[in-house]
Amino acid sequence: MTADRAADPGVLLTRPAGQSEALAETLRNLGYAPFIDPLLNIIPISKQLDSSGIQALLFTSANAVGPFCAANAERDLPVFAVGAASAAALRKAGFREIHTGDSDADAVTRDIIRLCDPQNGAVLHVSGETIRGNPAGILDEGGFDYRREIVYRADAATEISPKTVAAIKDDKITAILFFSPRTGETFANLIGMAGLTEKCGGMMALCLSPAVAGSVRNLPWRTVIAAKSPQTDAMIAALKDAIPVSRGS
Amino acid sequence: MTPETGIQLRIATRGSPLALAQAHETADRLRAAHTALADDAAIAFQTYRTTGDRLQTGTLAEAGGKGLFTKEIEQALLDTDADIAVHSMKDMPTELPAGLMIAAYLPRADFRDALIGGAQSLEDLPMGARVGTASLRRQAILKSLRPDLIIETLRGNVNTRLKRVAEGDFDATLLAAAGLTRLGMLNEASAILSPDEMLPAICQGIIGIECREDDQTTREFLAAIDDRESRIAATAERAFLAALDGSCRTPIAGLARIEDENISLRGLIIRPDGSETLAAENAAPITEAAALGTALGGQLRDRAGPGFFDDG
Repeated sequence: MTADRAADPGVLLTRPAGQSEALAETLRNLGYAPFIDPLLNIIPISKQLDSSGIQALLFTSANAVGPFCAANAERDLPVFAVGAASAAALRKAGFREIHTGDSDADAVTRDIIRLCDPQNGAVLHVSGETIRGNPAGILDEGGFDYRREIVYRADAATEISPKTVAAIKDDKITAILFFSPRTGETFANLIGMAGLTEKCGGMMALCLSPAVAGSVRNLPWRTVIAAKSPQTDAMIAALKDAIPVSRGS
Repeated sequence: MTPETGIQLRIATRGSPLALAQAHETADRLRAAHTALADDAAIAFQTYRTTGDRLQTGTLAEAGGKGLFTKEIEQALLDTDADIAVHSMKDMPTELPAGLMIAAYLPRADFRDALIGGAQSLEDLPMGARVGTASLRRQAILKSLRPDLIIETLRGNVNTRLKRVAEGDFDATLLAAAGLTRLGMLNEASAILSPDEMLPAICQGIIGIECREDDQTTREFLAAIDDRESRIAATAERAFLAALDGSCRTPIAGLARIEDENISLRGLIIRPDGSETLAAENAAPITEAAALGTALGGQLRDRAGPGFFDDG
């Protein structure tokens, strides 16, 4: 956990380990004091992956890209993925044909039906243990053979870190940023276990989307805000709107 | 050609400082490549005021699209009142008038967008900042990334837009880095945006030189200054745009990159209100640049379905 000047509004970042550092730097430059406490830990699952008979890959999380690439050398298949972060990870991994959309997994799955022919092979969904949406149902309805390989699991933290607990108790956290429903659900469980649920009344939950907001809505927050679009920049804008800071003050 | 006056080549151009800078860069390259054109008097500049130049308000889409900046100039070529026309390829319709061709491309300049107004990044813009731009692509991407921003139409040449920001009418605007560079004004930019954040317009930074297909003398002049990489990139990007039936009315972005003998192309379409982005990328040998663009554009068109570009 890191934090800056005591006077700066504290913002807790809860994304998986290694995924908050760049955002923390941005927030620090904008005059916030970022705290990092990963509530999920991405654990790759080592396995052999057979891509024979596969015509396209589906990634519904950027977290699946690394483990897949470690297990399989296939880079020539077309890839369908959700979001610009996945596209960047896939590009870096060496994939060439990448189709992305920024709405949700179901929308990207429907793109497979629009562009691919079921006769050309199965679709391999490379994912974590938990998925949102219904790719299997959509592809089945489209006449596609759907296969799924789980290449990572996202282990929920078993406790909020002692430093975060101390910061919450000392009212140093003004806002908590949530980027996924799973993270929100994990926080909701752990804050109760820590006996700090009532402390939410002094904090704001800032969420990537209404679906993420739904995962923390049962806590007694001062405010719950969903970004106007599922983009990190929109999250930052919402934070700046809700908690303005003036640098150099 | 009018040998009696010593003029070997007549360049038709718009009269804006940027258009003139592009025309002079073209002339300099031609003079360097051909002794017949080396004399200052060998190349004449003819300026035209296009319909697009006369419009200072509203988006280009409202006024009728890309051909607004080229119609009068292309007519001068067809009427043999001029020999070549120098264009920013991002302003060019995907189909040229019958009898005209792009005979040369200059080396691509910086393809990125520059942020004007003092902010160091898009996320650095204040909440609810007023951003002026007439580009539907920039408007839609900004709405997607920063839904809080107030986006308003800002038209006019580079100096006009810089002045409006300096006078406080807008907090920021976006301009092509290539244009600022050509005018020696890149220092006006407070940040240069990565294509990962703001994918550029089709052919941004590429200058194309148009002439009559049957004018062999001029085509030979132009062949000597044709840049192969720019031509390949423009071929892929314009095929992509054509497959999408793209125009100024549609927020479309795309960028081709060439590495060795391969070309990669990234493209996206975005709803005008920024609510949904569809992106695609692929790579191919450079000999298949047009097919790559056509395929990628067709795939995005199929994914989008009808009505994608309708205003929400």
